[in-house]
Amino acid sequence: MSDPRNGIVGKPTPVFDARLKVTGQLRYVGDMKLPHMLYGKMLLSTHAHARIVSIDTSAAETLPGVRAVVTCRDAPDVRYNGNGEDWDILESERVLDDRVRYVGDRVAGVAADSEGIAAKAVKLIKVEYEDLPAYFDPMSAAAPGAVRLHEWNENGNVLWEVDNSSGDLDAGLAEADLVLEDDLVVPAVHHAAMETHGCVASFDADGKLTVWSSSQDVFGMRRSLAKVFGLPYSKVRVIAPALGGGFGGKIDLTCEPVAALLSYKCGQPVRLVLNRQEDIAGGPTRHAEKIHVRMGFRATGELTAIDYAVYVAAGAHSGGTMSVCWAAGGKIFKLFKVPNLRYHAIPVYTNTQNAGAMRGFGSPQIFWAFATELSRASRELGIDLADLYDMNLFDPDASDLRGEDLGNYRVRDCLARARELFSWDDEVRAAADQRAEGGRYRVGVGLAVAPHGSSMHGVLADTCGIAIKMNLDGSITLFSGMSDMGNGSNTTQRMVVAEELAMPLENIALVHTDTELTGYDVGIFASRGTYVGAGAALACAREAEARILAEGAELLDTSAEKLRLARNGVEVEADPARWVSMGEVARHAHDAERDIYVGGNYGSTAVPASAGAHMCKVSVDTLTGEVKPLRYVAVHDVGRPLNPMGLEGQVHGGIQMGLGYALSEGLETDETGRLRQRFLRDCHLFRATDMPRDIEVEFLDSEEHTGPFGAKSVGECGLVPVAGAVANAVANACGCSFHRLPIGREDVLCALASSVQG
Amino acid sequence: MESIELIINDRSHQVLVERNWTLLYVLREMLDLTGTKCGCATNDCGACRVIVDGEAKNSCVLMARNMQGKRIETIEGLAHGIELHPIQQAFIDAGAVQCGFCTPGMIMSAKALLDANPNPTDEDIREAIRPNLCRCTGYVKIVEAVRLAARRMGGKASGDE
Repeated sequence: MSDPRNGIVGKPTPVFDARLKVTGQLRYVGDMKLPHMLYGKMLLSTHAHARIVSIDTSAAETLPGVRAVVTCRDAPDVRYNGNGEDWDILESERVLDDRVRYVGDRVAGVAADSEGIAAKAVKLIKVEYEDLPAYFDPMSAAAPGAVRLHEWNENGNVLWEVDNSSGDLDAGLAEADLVLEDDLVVPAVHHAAMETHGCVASFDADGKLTVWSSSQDVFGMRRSLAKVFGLPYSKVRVIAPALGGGFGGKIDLTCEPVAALLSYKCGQPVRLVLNRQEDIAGGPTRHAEKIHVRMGFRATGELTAIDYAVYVAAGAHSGGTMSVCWAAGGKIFKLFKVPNLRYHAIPVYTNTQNAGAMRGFGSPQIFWAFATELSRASRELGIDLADLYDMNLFDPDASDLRGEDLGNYRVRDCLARARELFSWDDEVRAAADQRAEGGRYRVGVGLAVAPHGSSMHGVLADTCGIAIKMNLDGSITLFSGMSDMGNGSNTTQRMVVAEELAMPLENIALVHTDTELTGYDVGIFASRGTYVGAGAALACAREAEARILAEGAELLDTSAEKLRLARNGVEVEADPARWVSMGEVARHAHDAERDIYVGGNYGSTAVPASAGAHMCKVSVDTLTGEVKPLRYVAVHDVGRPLNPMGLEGQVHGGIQMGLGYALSEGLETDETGRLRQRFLRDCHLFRATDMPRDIEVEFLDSEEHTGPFGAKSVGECGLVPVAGAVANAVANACGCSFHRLPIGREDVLCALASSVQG
Repeated sequence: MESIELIINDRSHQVLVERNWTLLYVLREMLDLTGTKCGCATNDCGACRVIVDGEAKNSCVLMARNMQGKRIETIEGLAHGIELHPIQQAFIDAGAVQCGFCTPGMIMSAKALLDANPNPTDEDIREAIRPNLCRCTGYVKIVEAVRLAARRMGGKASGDE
């Protein structure tokens, strides 16, 4: 823990590249043009599950302007898992395969002189398919006798089951005065980053592959591309110049191997950017799940047991599915101090889009399910929902049932403050009174609480590569291996370095996410941006600081212990008039042939839990079923807020995404496996006019002792409780529970009709 | 191919276009004005919004050949060197920028609004950016930014009371 030096930490700070973004000057991969660059396009499968009997590419190849066509005949016979975290397990994917496993799967690729020619060429490719039985939900795919999506899988279509149990479930349920049991359903969701997946790939004459990708995980992509093409890492360079959003969808390889294969074949750089229809049909999704939950409560409200069994639709390939199941199986323990909990996940291959990481990583499903059951219990036991949550939440510095330390985890304080800010008790009463009047519109209020982690410490070596190079004028270049998808991870890294080195932000140039220039980083996911990324930047800045102080000691003719960094230089603590500038320090070091250049891979030491308590008020139109969110309050424990502007923005975005998850988004397949959502308009993302007009977000003034300047995480936590809070508000308005997301108008009308009858 | 004159940010460009080329395609691929983004190409997201004769429009569904002689404004026309347009500065100051991909289109919607209505209410602002999808900000700070810009540009931004 350090004390702030120059007030940058804690001050609202725009993203580091904001000026380039507001002027349109930031170059995303789709904006790149290289000399002799070609335009790539993929042919995607129209069949949900089929063997490719033949592919005729002759017409495409002879179209003028076409430079390369690739199919399974050209693809290396290498199976990979395109997820960086799970790269060495369940490797089933091939760049282009002779079998397709979902509508949208990759069949072939074309590189041509223009986008128009490439699109025309793709249409000229003739594919003969031999259909196989297709499974769109995990239960039917897991049924005995189902055709395997992957021949080698001894478990049929089931991946690896996860069973995390602690305590005695049966005894816990037997102790309960009330046991609730429900079957719940959540859909797959399109991430809908505003920038679709895309890359530029270039194989040069040295046999070296360079890929510019909108990637959350350049080092993971390098690892998988090296494997696919049989290259040492020194011959694969992956760079993420900029990301137009990610939300977990840009961790895994998608179009990169196809672009690389095309470039390999024609020797020219290839830009391959998915259009939105391709991005929806061919890109990754959140996992669709079927959940069976049982929860036991005492009459006084305390939880005695939770049983959570979930079928997870993995899609055609594993990707990050196992990590999602494992991680969700850890996070499920981190909210309630329940003595008996069983988590059983059954991930299953399905003939649907590859599901993987999406903001929350398995948690939004769980904490929506918990919110649903708690709201039922609240009605049945006659205990206020906030009270019911509160009595079951962890206190600070507790360990969960599996012995994991939760850190200075202030989840109860979040709930208490949200309750105050929202005027929960008054709002509950007012909503009931309003409903009693029996008008067309019914008001409801709901809440949900959720935890999230801050790193992957304990799961894998969670390090971030950072280097600091001081220039001769005392300004620095900060090298960070961590991506920034707009979430502010690089911004926060720059802030903590500026703080520690008592240096203005503009004196810090940034080089980021280039596998050749920057040190290894795990990737921008797991809400590790601040805790791990800024933590690593701070650790590196401290090494720089020690070097600066040593130089300062010579210049000021005293010992380093008597010095401190201040005002972009070094001063004598007891006599601040004795001061040398950072430029003098840099020149002094250079003249002595020991320029200041420090760096390495810095790890984390803990996995502190962060938390959010969300409350929502909605109005339900009993004639149309339309739900209008009116008011939203979110209070989070993020440790110490380093950048309030970025933190608020993260939670605001989480609320938008969570409202969609609760009320309007979700992908559905028709009977042939084609998604009903073809265009972005079909995905029903919340627009500015759909949002609640009254949104308040607050952060506790807390401190995580192991975090940089006391900080932990926010990115995913801002989303995780939203669906639960919103769904509970709608349930409160309708006087019932909802068993599936999204809650559409039809669901509301149906619920209202049955609650009137009931 | 057909030769047309496009007036973009007060400069005239003579370009050869195919019948089916959109304004977005010509801006990005022919003229290297890549500040205008493509998020969907189907009129759903507003990332490609430009101003045509004073009105904000999605350039992905405008045919380039129909743009002959019209006054087109793109994000590249707003700043002069490092001197930003007040709306751009307000987007930065209000924290309305995260990934930045929707930002140029948002700013063009905001500019068309403020050019026509210097004193918008919050509802006017929301209506003006309704065609623009954003996945990062929940629109909260974007609405704040437009309000801030209106105030700095001399309007009152009544929603701010």
